Amino acid sequence: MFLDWGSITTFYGQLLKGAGLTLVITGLAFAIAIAVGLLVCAGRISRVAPVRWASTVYVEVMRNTPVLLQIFIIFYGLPSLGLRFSAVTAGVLGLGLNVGAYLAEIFRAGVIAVPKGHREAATALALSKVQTLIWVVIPVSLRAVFPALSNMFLATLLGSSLLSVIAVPELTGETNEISSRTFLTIEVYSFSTLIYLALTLSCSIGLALLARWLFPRASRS
Amino acid sequence: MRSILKAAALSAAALGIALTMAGPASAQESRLDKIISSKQLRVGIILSLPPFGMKNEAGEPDGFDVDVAKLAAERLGAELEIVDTTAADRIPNLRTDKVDMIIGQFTRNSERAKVISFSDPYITAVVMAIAVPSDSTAAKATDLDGKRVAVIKGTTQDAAFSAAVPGADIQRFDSSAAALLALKQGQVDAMIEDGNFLNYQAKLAGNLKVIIDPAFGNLIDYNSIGVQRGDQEWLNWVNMFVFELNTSGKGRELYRKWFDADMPAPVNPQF
Repeated sequence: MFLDWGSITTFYGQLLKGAGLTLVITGLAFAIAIAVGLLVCAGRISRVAPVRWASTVYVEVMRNTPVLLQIFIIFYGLPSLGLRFSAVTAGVLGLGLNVGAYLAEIFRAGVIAVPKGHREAATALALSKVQTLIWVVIPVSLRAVFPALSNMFLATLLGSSLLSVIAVPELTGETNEISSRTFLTIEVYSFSTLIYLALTLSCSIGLALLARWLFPRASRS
Repeated sequence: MRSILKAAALSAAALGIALTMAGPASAQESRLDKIISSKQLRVGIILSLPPFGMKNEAGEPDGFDVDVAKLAAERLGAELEIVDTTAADRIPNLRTDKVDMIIGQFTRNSERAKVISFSDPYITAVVMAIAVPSDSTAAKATDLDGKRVAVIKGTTQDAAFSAAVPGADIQRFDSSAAALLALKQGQVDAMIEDGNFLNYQAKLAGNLKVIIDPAFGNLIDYNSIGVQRGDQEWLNWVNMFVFELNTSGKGRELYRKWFDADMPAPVNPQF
């Protein structure tokens, strides 16, 4: 086995470009996921039964099928129905819709986590429904679900590597490309692993700081 | 916070140890002896590259390359174990000792020969053919300037086409099957692969046509079997096997079986 660590420097630019795209994809997918999550969460606790059923079906289907297949259906399948997305769009959409189902459940847990007494207190203070939502339910549940949200963000970042199979040149895609062109398999894959580690750890630290700033009196772990 | 930093330090240390341990593996016994005594031959084949490698209706590996692998196992008196691979994973599979040889339409070149060894050629192909939808007006490679073009990561075609038409929007797929699907679904405007694969696919699909750019028409691939570098005895055997395949006419017979045509060029001017 001949390891050639020096040659990796030649590919810094390409790998960093891939890492940049990985972050962009993660950000966009997670934004979609939050929107989908809030919507579906609202559906899950809705009083209208059909809305509740539809939301439940969405969550169960998305969570119980592989995200890779969902991405394949969007990229390779939908063109048959006349819906054509670029590889990046299809990937972001697939990832966002999938993670959205998980976020919906996390948000729902957060809403349930708000103690009944809090709502009763809000009623006693004559807060309207909207005021209760903004000042009581959201702050309390956000604090409860923040660690779970952070985890899902990291899972989205790592999951974005799946997009390499539909030719998206994100970090894993670029890594495969360099490895297949230069045969520096072990070297390039190890280096990319380190980049992923650096990305996830900086995100973890960033999210931990965000939590500290958002919830000043939260107990820290 | 502190626990995150601690975890980071630990993971970095673990990775460091793992990498230092991947030291040189000294070659003693030839792979040839190992295969003869264990009666096991592991062959990497691209099973997403019909009709070279694919799964038949029974779900069994089948195709031109599979037939060649079966013949090799038979000659060695060994049991054949087929390892599915992709174009990009061919060299990694050899370097990490997952397979004893790769029979996967391997184009031999001096760059690749720095890390693995190639046998004598066992099949020829037009290097660069272009598949487009039947209604496409493209007639040569440069017509694809600005168009979305699918190539397969780590192939000769990727390098050649990227250099020839730098203005194309090149989408790099992991397998020929994935690229072909993208072409059929209109996700790309063209696909670059070798002539054997594309001619066969165009015949199956009907709504695709194959263009051979005159500038690349004379370029012939002499595809070989890939083996690990540093085991000359094993390479000698593989070369002898290829020699027999070529001189006995068995190779040409297999090509005719799968393509209903003759190879685009004689397999090797020597024979």
